[in-house]
Amino acid sequence: MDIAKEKFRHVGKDNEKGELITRKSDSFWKDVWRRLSGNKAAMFSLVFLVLLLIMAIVGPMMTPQSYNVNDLMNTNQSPGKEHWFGTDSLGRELWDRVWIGARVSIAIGFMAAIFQTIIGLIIGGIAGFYGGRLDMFIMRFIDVMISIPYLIFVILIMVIMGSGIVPIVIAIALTGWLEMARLVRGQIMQLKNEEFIISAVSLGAGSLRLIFKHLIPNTLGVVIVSLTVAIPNAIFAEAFLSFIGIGIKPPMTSWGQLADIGMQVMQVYPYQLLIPAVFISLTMLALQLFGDGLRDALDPKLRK
Amino acid sequence: MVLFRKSSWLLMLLLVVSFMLAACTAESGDTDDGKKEGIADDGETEQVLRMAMESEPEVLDPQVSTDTYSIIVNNAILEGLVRFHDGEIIPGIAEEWDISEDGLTYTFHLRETTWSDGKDLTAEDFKDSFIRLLDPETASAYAYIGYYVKNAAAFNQGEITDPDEVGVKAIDPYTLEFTLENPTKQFLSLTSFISYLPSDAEKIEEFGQSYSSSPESMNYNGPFVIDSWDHQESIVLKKNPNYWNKDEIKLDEVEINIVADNSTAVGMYETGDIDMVTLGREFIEKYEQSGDAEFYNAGTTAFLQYSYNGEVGEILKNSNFRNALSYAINRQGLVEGVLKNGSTPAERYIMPDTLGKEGLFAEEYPLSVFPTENDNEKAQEYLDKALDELGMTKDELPAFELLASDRPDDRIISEALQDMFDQTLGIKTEITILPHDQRLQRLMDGEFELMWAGWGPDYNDPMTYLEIFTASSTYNTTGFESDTYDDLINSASVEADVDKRGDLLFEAEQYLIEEGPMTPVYFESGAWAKSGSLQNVNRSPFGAEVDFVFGYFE
Amino acid sequence: MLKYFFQRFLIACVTILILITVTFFLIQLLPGDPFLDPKLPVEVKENMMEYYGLNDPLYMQYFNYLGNLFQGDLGYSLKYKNLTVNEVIMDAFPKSVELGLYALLISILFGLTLGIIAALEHNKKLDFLSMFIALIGISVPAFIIGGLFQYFFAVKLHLFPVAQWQGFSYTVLPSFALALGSVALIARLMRASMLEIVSTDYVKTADAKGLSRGQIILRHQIRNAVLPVLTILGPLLANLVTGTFVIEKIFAVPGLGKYYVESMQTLDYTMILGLTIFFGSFLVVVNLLIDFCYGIIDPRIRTKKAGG
Repeated sequence: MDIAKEKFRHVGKDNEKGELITRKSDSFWKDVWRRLSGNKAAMFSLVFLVLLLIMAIVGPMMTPQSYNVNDLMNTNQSPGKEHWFGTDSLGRELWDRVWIGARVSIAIGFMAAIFQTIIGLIIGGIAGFYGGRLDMFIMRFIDVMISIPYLIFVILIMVIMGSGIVPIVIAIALTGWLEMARLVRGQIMQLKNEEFIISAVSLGAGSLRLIFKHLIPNTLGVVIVSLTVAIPNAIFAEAFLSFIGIGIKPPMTSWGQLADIGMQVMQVYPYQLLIPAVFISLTMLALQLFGDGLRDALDPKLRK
Repeated sequence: MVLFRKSSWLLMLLLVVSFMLAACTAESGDTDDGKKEGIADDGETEQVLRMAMESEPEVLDPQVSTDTYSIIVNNAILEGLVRFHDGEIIPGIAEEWDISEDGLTYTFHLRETTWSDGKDLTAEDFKDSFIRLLDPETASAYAYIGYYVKNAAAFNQGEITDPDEVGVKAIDPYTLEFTLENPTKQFLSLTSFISYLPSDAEKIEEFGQSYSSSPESMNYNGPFVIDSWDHQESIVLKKNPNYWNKDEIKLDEVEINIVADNSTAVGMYETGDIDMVTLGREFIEKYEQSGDAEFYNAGTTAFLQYSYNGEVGEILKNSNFRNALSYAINRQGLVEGVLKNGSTPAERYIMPDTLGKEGLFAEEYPLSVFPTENDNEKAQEYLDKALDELGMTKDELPAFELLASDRPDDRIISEALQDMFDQTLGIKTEITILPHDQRLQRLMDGEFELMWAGWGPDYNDPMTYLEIFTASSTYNTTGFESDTYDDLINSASVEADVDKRGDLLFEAEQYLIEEGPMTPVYFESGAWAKSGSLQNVNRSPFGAEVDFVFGYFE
Repeated sequence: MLKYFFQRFLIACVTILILITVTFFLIQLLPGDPFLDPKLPVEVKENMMEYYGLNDPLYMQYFNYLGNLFQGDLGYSLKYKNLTVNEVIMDAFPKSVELGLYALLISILFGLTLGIIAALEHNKKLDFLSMFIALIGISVPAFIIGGLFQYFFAVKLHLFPVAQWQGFSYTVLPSFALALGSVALIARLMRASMLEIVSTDYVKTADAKGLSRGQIILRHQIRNAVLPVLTILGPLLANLVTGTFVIEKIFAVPGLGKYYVESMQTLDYTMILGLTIFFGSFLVVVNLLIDFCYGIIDPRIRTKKAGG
């Protein structure tokens, strides 16, 4: 029981170290991967998505025809040896159009979803973290933005920027971030009262550190779930814009547009709906399952 | 424990689902019973026509209204001096009429009849309605349809304020006289047009701007009256017992459903909810195979319009260049391979069914300028000639903007044109799709290069197609201004001699084809299907698009 | 509490005023005007602009509009020229609400059930099954679902009417088609939220106290897990009520969605403004109500908000 006092020395208060997580940081991602690769559904989805990306790149090169060349003698041909996915009402190869559509839709989905998530995360985070008057202003701003008719923005953007992928991404993200911000704000407000945050604060963690090391990682679960919803939402939003006539610039196409056209001819040429619809649905399904897997793998609370 | 837990949740889910299904099926059973059948209990055919219309009538007030759907409904609930039916002008409220030698005075002799509420319908009603059309206070968009009448334009534009100076007089309660500015061949048929239909001054007094917004807030003098009106859902018409010609009207009731989506309307037709339906391009083939599709002339000449403004306009002004584009278009391929709706390739500008001097204009003045199929060699020749004249090489040609509206058909046609120009001539185009109004604004500002456009007739005369390209026309923002053309149109519009007038119009058409800022592509048709027992319902490019007034079930 | 809501109410009024102002000036930026017609002679157009007050300076139009608004008058539509925007709303909104509420009810019932089952059976077969069902709803675009429902259940099988809005049987297909996306949303949120709560201390405590599983699930897990779901119900209802255009079009439902999209396409200024204000207020009221409920369910937030 004799412990010499000399063996101890006062190290002082070190704000940095006091907060440090001792676990090595690379093990976190390893851990995530381990969990993720254990999730069959997620891995299956991942493989599907990667295949899809590859096909989106090489698919159009596999046929001699181009996605925009008409053949008025061979319109609305059913799928078969000659036309793998059939042809559309201008005699264009649906095979090529589906993969071109995949490029466009996936690009729009990811870009818009990531764009709006980042904005939502930052603004929602600020509102939730600082609270008070700033929070009030941000939330009222969001209220106003949500209530202004979406189509006004869309039409304005189209008139200013023309049609194309970038204007559509902006149009979708411009209103898409609002809900994300609300969600993140709600989460952060709840988290602020949790013990581990309180202890981090009492250990002297600064605001930035709190936000980036504690609050944001702890909202990731919810954010990723929303993100996996945001991607299909963006793809659907593009389809909706196609539905009301303001979408991608022809002769380019997107899945939404293909499905919209397919919808019109459903009773006569069901394959024209079936093919894009199956691709949309499978992609959505894969994204969701992968997102779920990622969420489970990432969520610090489920880690044991 | 675990088992119980699992099954309890399952049970809950099952309950919810079965509740829902039970509620649904029970209800749907009810409606099946209540579904109207074509045959009434006594075995006689029930004369109830059920149809679908794409959109709600914007406003039924005849002096304010301008849209297709109001015209369809007004055609059934109101009647003008004459009635347009199945391509013919038949007496309406006017029993007979006289036209003066110089073609300037029209005297209508009205029959003694009443409004649906029993009030007398007189020449005064028609006169007041016409003045109301022109009154700046009404702010009617179609006021200009009245401009053929003497001093009408001046009164509408506030240059004169006394309505008595306008060339319309109620000589006695049953005689109405119009005096025109110029002899106007189409004036008689115009008096069946929506803007010339009567409105009831007393009801207008009572309801103000809300006149005609509900069944009670208007008065009827046509074959039908509105029985009920659920906005955006349905309008139910009942036979008007006070209509002068009620014996000729067989239908007791007409139920007009507002159904925006064509597949939905076709679905309703297939389940027997409606008796006739317009077929979108996609359904035509299916119905054609079963022999149920009927084609009708939509009246529109669809054309590629050019702007002569600006730098690009200099290229488009070149007639050889326009010819090159024209020869690159596979008109036959478009109508047969893509549209498949009975449209025909345009070999000229004026729609073939347009009335000429006596018969059809196309028969009296035959013309076929444009090739039905593309001629790549000729197109190339024209392009070379054009490039020579312009002092350009092909690489110096810009990528032209091709502006189109967001209608699905317009989109697909513009994509086809883009490919044809590229494949045949190597000419590149960029398609811009804009919503209807934004495209229209670009048109009116003259801000376009190539535009996919078309013109539907306002009345049955070549003039309706030709007058839009005069220098003073509000439609013509193309930068095409030709004194020669304007002179031809102006002389034709004051010419009382039908032969001379016809010659002038034909000359104008040829000049326009040569120099004008557009290349006709096809004459638009549509298709529809109707129940076999339904007879005497017409579709026409002039007047009401659907005319069911004299329809009946066998 | 009351003071807090009064405060919120005042803020809501200011928000709506800002909304009106922003929308009013934004729509002026859209190219075109309500009376776009290439056939109209200049003088006729001038008459119309004058009559409908569109020739006045913008600030005058703005204050005129506000003046009328304070009397509850949203003005006549510029497209349906003899209908007032008030009439349109009173006519069409109940139908949109009916459709939206049915859809919300379906989403809550199915969404919560699926979400709870999935969470309780975490990583077991039922979890995958419920999530798969939920995912199908979110994986197919509404217009395809709507179209397919209509084609198979109405046109082919004659189980329901094809379209329109004339009784309960007419509401089934559109409500379900509209609800599918939200079923998935709620189910997933509920599942995520339940899973988080399973590992919280108070659930462990309750477990340690010896509460029965059923009681823990009902009194602690579900009650607390419902919170994040509740927060999205407001926006969700608003979405379901206002975002029905596609479904309304397919099923020919005479709701407000059509007016909303159409008014923007035809630049019907009064209709755009009127509907925006109306929807904006609707949203604010719904949010206020949700906050209120939130306060009742979660006492932490009540005390916090009331204090600050």
